[in-house]
Amino acid sequence: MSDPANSWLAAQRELVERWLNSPPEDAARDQAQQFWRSIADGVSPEARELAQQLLQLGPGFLAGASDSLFALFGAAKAKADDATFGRWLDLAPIGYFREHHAQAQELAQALDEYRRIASRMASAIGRIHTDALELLAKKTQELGTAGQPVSDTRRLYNLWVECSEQSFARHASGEAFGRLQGELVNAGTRVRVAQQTIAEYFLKSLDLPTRSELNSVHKRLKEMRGRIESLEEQLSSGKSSARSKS
Amino acid sequence: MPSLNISETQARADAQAFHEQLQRALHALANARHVRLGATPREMVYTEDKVTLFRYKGRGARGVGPGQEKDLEARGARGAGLGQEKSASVFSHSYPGPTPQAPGPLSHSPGPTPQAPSPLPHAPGPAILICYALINRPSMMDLQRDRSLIGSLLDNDVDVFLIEWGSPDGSDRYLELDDYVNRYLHHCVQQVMRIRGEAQVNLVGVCQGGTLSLCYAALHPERVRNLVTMVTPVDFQTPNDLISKWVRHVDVDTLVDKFGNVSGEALNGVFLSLLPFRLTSQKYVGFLDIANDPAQVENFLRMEQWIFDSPDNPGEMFRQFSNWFYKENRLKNGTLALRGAPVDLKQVTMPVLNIYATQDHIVPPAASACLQDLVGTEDYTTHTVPSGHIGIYVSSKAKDLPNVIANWLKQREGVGPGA
Repeated sequence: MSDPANSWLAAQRELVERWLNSPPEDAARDQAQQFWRSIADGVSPEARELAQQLLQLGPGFLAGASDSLFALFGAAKAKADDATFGRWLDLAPIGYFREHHAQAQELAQALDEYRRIASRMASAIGRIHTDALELLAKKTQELGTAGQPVSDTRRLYNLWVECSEQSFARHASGEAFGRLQGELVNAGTRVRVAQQTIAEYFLKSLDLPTRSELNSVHKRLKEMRGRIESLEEQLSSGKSSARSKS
Repeated sequence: MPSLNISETQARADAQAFHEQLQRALHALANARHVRLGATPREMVYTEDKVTLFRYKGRGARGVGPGQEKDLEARGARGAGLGQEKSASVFSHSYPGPTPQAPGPLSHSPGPTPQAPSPLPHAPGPAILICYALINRPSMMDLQRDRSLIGSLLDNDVDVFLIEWGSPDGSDRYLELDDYVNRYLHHCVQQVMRIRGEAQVNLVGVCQGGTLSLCYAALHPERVRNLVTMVTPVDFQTPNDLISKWVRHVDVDTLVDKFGNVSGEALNGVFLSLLPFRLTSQKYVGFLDIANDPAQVENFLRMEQWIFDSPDNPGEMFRQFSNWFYKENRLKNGTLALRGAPVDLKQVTMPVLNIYATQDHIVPPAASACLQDLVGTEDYTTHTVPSGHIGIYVSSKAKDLPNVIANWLKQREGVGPGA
């Protein structure tokens, strides 16, 4: 086995051992508890009861996957927050650097719009998790009532996946989620457009080829290919008709 | 009774057990052999731009004993996976050039160097031309020796040709639907006709490749003797079609204008997000259960390789496919036209076998099933498989699929059982 794999394994082992031997006030546990408490806020008493039970299971379960999702969107938000564009971006662009100013403004606005929509998406995903927890509470309660309480973590995990997929399917097939996802993609495209405009300016200033120039070449090549094929077909049909006449 | 009966002690014990499983799984991954997709020998018979037409070698390769196998390997004719193909008689051109007519000596323009034909025979039965999707590689149809739809078709004496679309790059961003249907697919059809000395082909379209095949069959019905469609979307706006619902709100025109080709990685992200909890979490937890079995680990790795080895989609093709099919549902509505010619499914008058999966989350069953009401043929057969989109190739529930296809084909070719 390679050294990186061994190091990784050692780190994982240390993490689990630390958790297994850690006091309840351990930071990771607090984080998981905070997550489940936040999810449990505003949900039914049954779901809250389930969340309380889940709290007892520690941070190694369920919270991990959810945390990584939130971290994903949180990171994007933090990045946008950290970006300092300065007050000059709020001013109407004028003067010799007007074009650069306008391009920078467009990028800033596009990033801001993306951040806002990503934040709404994070909320939508939060709702999916909340609904999944409601479903999980309902299912585990039904199983408990039927005398078959969930008695191992793997089964609980599989039930959570099942409930999460059900919750996701219900939300994701709705018009609102579809529109939000479209808005997020479109906002990402707007950021890309703004980035590309700035990148192309610098490429041109260094006399390097740009994507736009390559596109023009490829487009012309394709048109030329079509015209050659058309001429070949005309030639071919001309020869055939000449042969049939002779 | 409490709904959860898991003590903290047990949760810790489970976590410990999980960690041990994880260690074993990482050990298995660190020691796993490099997996290779593609189990059946094949040869290139035609190339054009990045598109390659392959012909698979027949029963000789699959039916050999261990001693013979060694001999074949020594001759380089056995165990040829992707990238190890023999290029026997390759006809290749960058431009279509003159239309190939009757079978005969091939003119070799620039392309792979012709080599001596492989000693393995071709299957003696009817030929099929498989047109796969652009989104993934067709290696799923020949994943490994004991899970190969293509291998099983060869065992049924079917002579298998397959189109690989290759890996489009920036120079291919203006390739359109018309290029795929009326250029590449059309030329591959002509090549199969030339090689086989026949006036028609049996076309097998898979997933998006099925949609392309339907377009081709509607535009060139005289070239298609029989048509098989597998997990093929026809109605792109059925109620359970999540992709359709999502793409409706995406500004595809701006996206393609600015991104050019749409990366396979991005498309994979979309497919994963259809079942996010299962496909990004549960699947890998499930892997821990099989990590002790090297054969199952290899199977798993092959699937992973197939899933994530996705070529980029040419920008214009993506634009047209998204707008015309998903947003405007032109194929079903009868409003699609290529080079000014209407793509009218009523022109699909040849026998049709439509195969779809009843638990397909990518192409919902209803998206395929509606084909029956749209085509003009009077010889229409439906075959359903109780699996998902991918299971149709590898699930044990789809075990009889090669026989179904081969028998259906042979009945219409006038050979074999029930003919």
